[in-house]
Amino acid sequence: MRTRFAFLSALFLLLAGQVIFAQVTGTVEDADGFPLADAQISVRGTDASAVTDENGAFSVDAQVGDVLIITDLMGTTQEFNIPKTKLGTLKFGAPVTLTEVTLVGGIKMETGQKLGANTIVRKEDFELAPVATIDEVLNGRVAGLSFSANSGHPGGTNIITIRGVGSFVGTPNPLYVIDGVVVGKGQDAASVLESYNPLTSIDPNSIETVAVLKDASATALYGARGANGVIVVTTKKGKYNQKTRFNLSTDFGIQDVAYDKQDWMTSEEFVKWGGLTLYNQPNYEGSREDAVNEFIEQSGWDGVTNTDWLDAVTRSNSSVKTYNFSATGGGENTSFRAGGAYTENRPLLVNSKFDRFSANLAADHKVTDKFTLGSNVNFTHVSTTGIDDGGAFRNPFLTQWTIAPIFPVYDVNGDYNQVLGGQSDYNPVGLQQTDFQKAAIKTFVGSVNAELEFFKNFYFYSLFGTQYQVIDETSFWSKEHGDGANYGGQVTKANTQTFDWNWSSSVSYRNIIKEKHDLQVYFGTEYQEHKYNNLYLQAWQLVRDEPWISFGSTDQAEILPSYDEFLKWVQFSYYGKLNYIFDKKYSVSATVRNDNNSTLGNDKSGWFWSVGAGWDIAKENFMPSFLNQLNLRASYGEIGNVPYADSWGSINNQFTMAGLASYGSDSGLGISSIGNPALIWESVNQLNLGLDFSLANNIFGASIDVYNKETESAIYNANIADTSAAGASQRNIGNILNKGVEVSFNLRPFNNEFKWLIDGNFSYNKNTVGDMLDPEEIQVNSRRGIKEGQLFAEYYMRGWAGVDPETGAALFWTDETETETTTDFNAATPYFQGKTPFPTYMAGLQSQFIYKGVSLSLFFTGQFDYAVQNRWQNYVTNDGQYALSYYNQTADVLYDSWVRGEDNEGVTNPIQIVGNSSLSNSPSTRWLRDGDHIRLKEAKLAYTFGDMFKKATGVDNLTVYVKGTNLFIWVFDDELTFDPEANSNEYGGGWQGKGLFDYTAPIMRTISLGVSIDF
Amino acid sequence: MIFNTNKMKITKILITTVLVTSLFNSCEEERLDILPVLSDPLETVIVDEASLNEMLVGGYDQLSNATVFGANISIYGDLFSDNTFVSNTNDGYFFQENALAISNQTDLGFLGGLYKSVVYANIVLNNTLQDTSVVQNIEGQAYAMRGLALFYIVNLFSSNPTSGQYQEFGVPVYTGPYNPSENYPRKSVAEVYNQIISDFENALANMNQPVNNNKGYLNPTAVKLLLSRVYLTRGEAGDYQRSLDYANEVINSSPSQFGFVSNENYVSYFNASDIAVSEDQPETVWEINMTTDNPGLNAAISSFYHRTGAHGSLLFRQDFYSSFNDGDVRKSLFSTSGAPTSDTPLGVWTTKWPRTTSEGNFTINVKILRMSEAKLNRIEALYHLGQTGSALNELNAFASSRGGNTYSGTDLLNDILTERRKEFFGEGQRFYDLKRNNLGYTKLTNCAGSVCTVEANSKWMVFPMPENSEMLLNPLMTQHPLWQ
Repeated sequence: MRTRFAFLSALFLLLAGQVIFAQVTGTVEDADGFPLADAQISVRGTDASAVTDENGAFSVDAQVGDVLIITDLMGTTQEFNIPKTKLGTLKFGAPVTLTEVTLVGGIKMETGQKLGANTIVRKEDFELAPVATIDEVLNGRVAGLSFSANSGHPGGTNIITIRGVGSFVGTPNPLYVIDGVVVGKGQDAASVLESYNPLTSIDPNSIETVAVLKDASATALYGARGANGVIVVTTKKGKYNQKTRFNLSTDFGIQDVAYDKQDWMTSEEFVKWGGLTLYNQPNYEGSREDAVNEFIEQSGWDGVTNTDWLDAVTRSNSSVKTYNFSATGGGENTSFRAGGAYTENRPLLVNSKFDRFSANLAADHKVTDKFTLGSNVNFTHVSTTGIDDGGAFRNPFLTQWTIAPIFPVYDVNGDYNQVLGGQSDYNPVGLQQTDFQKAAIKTFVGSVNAELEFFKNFYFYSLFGTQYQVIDETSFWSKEHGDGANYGGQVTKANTQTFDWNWSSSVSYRNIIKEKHDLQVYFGTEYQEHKYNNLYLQAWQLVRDEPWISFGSTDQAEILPSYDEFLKWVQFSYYGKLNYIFDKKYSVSATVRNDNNSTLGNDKSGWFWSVGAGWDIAKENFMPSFLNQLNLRASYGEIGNVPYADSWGSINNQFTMAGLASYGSDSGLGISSIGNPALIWESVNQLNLGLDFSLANNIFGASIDVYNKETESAIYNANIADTSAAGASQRNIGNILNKGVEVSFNLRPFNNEFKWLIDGNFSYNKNTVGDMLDPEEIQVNSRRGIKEGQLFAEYYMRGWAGVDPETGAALFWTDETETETTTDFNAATPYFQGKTPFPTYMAGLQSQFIYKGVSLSLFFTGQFDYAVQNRWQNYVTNDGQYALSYYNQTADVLYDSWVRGEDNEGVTNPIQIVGNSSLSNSPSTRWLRDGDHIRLKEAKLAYTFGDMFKKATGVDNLTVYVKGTNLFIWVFDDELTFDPEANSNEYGGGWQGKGLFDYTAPIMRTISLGVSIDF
Repeated sequence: MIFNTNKMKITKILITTVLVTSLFNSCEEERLDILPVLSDPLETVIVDEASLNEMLVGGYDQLSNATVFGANISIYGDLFSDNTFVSNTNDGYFFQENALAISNQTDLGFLGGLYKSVVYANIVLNNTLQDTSVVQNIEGQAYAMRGLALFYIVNLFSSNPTSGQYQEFGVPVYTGPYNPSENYPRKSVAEVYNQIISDFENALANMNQPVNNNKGYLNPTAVKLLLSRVYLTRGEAGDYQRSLDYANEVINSSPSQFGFVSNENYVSYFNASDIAVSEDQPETVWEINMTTDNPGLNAAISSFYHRTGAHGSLLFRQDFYSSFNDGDVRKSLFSTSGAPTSDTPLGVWTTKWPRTTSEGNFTINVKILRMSEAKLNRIEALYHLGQTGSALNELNAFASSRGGNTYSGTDLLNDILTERRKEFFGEGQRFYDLKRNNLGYTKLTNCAGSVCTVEANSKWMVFPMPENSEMLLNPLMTQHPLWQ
């Protein structure tokens, strides 16, 4: 909601009578001197309003002495006094003004002056982006925000951190709020698909702004759920008194894999390597050639076949098409925007797809000058066909190594060849044709809000928001081959319905007293309820080989169990907020919130608060005029977090629970979750200091923030010792520290007819584990350890010390002193490696050139000082352990490994020997890679047709463009062969999956053409 | 326009009242008390005999996990011996175990699994129900379950009682109600055995009538058979006689549903997919009941042992196979066809664990305790009691009854253990047979890794407490000296 409503009553004016309205005219220009079209003009204290035309001109009912409020398309608002009826040119956008973002209970994010650390990303970055989810767009555009994808399949989940990871469990993602609806943290909602990101339901084209709240001053309003940061999405709306306008736009993109440097062996190379593994046996008597021939004979290679297994299951062209339509307009009392969009993605794999249809409607209505209503509704339908990923034999991307190129796709009879070494019976081409994993997801997100000024300067605001999502999933394994052959065909169906609603209300007093004291006081309540319903059915021994439960075996002994589940958690809260600005120069604000959350132990209540202060120094008389802006600010607050609740994991922690268990055909009781009555909130205490400045007519401006963020009593699903009955329970086990600096800047070296606009950001964050309950304890997960005093998720593994040139044995450091080596993997102890999968430094840089109708923009992102690993590297480079399972290898082990009887000085890889059991291939620092990279995230060349065209055709605007996404990546580690922004889907979106390459669907490069017409 | 200002005021007051009440009336404390629909707080679930029995069944469910008796304990009993090896053609399962690539980082999963059944037994035994005969019988089984779990745990994680080695390094023993936040230290081996024997005696005292009437549940015969093995293992003064006595009781005075398998039925008793022939048989004393999804097709024991199993890769060594003469009925439980050519010499499959049952596509019940063991325990006890003549006679009688080679008795203990090896191959007994008698073993062929001869009482006969799931989490735990 924007404040378009009067502080003075129109009624009062009417009663006072005898007021003569006149037409006030003027032209609005933006900071760069261009006419500002479509800006909304309203007059404070009246309901008169108008919209600027394409020349920025307007005419509105007002009188001298009134105040004009101008709101541009971004929602930026600026006020102008009316000294005369012909105003001439009004310069809009300087000084920098604030975008209005509404938080809980109608409270605005900032009033008058910036107090907190936040970043706003605008619609230009979202429109026609070839991405499935809005979070992907934030990558590189927000200082301190780190993004990586758990799967490149559209609609998969992502890991997003703001100012590092603040929790040991659950998603580190921020809380998403869409038009006041608290929609969660983008946590996986799927039961059959590898992952499904609920944010996929938000069409990026419908977004006006996304505000990323980082410090405590604003996030405290979200209390117990705001600690990871909050992302407030505001969708597009219409404006009052505007003729109805239409926009049609479309984008067509071609995709390929963004980064893959894995150099797989050809058949020729593979048998040479296989021969080497035989030849390297100490007792082998033949020549190397004999060994190769022996290996060829054993493997059954025909000497010709050289199958590219990935190529066999991928499309020649992967594509994404987006169509978008919208209409906006408004009358005197009502405004609206209606939009629809369709995205059709045909990803890399044969038969995989992603289609999204969405429709949204926003309407605002003024009942009276003091009573306004608003509503936003959004419906989305997604249908997607994905793959099993990670370690599943059927994962087509895994078959790059699970099947050697020596095996043909088809046997001599033309059937799918099922003799495939270690992966026999899982012919990926056959599986891709018959088996599938698909889902249809319907999502409704809607909210209604109302504001009433019930006494002078006293307001009541209420918002009811709801999200309803239905996910229908099917997985089908044909009986022809693979897993399905073992089960006579299997079909699994899941239906998941989630229903969330929140209702927040506030009463407030807002007044500007004597033009100097701007005072706002709010009191409010919020109630949230989250429900989850899941139905899971499976059948096998299918009578017909088709994906229907009804075709399942009816034989009593072959009926598979079906499951259902209902989960619910609630939170209710009370909050208060005070804002006070003196003389438009000095601001203070304070927030307090009490949350009561059903998922905690015996004590379910928590208090959260923040204070902030700001000083707008540029407004002081003593400041020189070249300083357009100088703003100092500080905030401190304590905000809560319930890190597990959004994933529906362990939401009952007060008690240890016993549920159904079975043994043979008898039913019994089993411990279904281990409780912890002492569980309390984890609390994030954050100090933020900030400085914003802008110089020399805004040619250069920057914001600098430093912060110190400490998570206290962080919750961990702490493992329980085996001897106390293995399991895990949520416990408050320790503290997590994040300290960092964020800088964002803009530079306008040329700002005339030729424009060069540079926007950049840079951030540093150090994420460490603070005091822990047990300072010696190490919780280990995927070779990352959590231990007091170490980096968060620091790699904890054995150290690789190279190859013994005499014997070819792998050498490992015995311990962290790295002084002694051993060939016995088990004799080496793991130790902390000083690196984590989360980048320490991140940067984003956008450079835009505009000349007449042509614009060219380049957007680079970079992440530095972090490390990544391939989850399957010990198979991909197995040193011969699986030589006879015929798992393909990367070619380096053939050309650069120890060979019996040769001079082996300086070889990188140890002896390759059949059945190698030395564990030389086991995970160690041998497989740790630097993830550091710079990425050309987006390049766009656009042309907007000029006035001549517009006049000739009657079309208001026509833009055509060509755009590239993820165009290029520079990596700094020569041995990094996979995408350093790829994660595993295996860990439900938790930090454990970060930087763990798992052969999920790859991150794509897209080149697209688009056109956008306004009329 | 004329306004009635009084009316407006009243309207405003009314609206304000409604708004302010609506602001605060939605939040009530009781809304926070949400319990899941599919489970109940543990402290409230045991309310009657039926629910007490359900908790006991839950304990069996834990024992039936693939990492415990569902598959792995049986598999390890052969793999950590001279019996089986993992083929060179494998998909990585048991690969490190096969190479004895074990370190204190290794977690084989059975420690947590076995202690879970201890916890379930404790929950049952700490019930507050009235002491009826049904309750007593349930408690009897819980005692048996705890004794069984502790017996396997101490066998796996401590040195043998008669080894004279590291006897203060037993395993944790506790009997109180479930407390997940409490940690427990090791007790001495002797204390653990006292608890095991006391649990088994309590089991016998309480189990007057069977509650769950099939061989999937522990019963007095099973407890007696276990006691005969426990005493054979502890070997204190009088223990061999006690072992002999309990073996005799099993042989001579078991109820009618127990009996010895005949030679004609011997092969089908194991490899028939028809469950009428292979499950709940007289020969079986205790087995793990299996259904479709327990423990899951891919983790089932047959998945690894059977030639067509999803991870079929466990093979017996040629030398062991050749030691059977052709008349030995047990030789029919091997299959030489389809052995992976990547192994030199070739391995031999067993058909003891059929891939499917007549009831569907899942593994047959996993036999853990059999009547025949009583005879072999008796022979071993006789040997330890110095009655070598009787021992040799009975040993040869047993071998002949299977059609196998008889023994000269020049190395009688070795002969007894060889016969046990032939009787129980693939059933996970070999490791315990050797350890109990303070013996090591040699992998004559198909040896992966560098350790092919395992010395008696070496670290390979004891398992390390796993670093991540025990040592780092339990400050009271100490690593076994052989693994320090």
